[in-house]
Amino acid sequence: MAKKNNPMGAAKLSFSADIGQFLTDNRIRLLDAIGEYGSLSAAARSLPMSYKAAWDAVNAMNNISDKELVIRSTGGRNGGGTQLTPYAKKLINMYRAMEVEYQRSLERLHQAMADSSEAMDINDFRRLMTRLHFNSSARNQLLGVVSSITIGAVSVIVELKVGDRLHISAAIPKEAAESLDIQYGQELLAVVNSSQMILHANETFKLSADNQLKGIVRHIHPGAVCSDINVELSDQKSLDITITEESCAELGLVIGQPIIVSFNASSVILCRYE
Amino acid sequence: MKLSARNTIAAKVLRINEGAVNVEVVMEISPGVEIVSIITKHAFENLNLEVGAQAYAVIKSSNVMIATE
Repeated sequence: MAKKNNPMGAAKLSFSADIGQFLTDNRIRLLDAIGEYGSLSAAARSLPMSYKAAWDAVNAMNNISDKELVIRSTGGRNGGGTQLTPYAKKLINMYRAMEVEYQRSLERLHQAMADSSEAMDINDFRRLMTRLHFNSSARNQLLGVVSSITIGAVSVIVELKVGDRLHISAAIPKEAAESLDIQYGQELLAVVNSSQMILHANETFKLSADNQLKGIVRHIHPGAVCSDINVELSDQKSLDITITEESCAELGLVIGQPIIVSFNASSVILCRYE
Repeated sequence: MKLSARNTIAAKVLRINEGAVNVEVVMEISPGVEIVSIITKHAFENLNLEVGAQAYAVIKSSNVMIATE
């Protein structure tokens, strides 16, 4: 069928391309590439994506997934490798299946919309749906399960179990706890800005910070004023911390060094998703 | 004390106001100069703070606001 005789078909083609791009999530493509190459740098090169962006994406995915998606092994002659877990492989397959179903239903929807008098631009709808998804500038997002709730007059302290050996304490206003309807066993996302955390190397002094998480320095990204430090915690979780260049030098931070990441319970924002 | 926070100010505990979950600790940096901290009760008990005790106010530089007139 010639396209010029079928304007509807042409519209559908261009709209399909838009939807395709939206669904081809970089992160799923990155997982796919990791599975194929068994190395993060090779996977990043193949997309292409910078190594840092790929590293950050893997950390973010491991942080919000309740099972590990990517396992990094360090050492070895080739500097270790990066492997997908069976759970990640399942996720990719499920995503691909969903993508096909999503495309089909959008096509049906587009057809129905074109017939109705109240025509709505399907791309406007798609943009709105994208915006409705939770989006945040905070670098650190960790998924956890509520393991304890302490209620005060104004504040509520919520403890989240983020990993087998990892807990995060969050202090939120009582009203917020009520509106989130926080309950034991509930799944929540803990969000912490990278500038709300401090680093220290030893345990010889006591600090009032409610969260003092032990980890290992994995990456240092120096800037003109501030440095970005990536710290690997237990359970394949990690945090990004922004400190000044001067602090970085004063602490003498080096990759592989044990470190403690501290932040107040009041610096943690809790999010519930529907 | 090696800490990434750029401001570590020696102070003396002046007043303590305990709530159900939070504790307000007022510290004196120098005569007439006070700094207030809100910490959780759990953290307060951990530090064994009492009036007259020596402590440090720790403030990350990105958390310091600046005002001019």
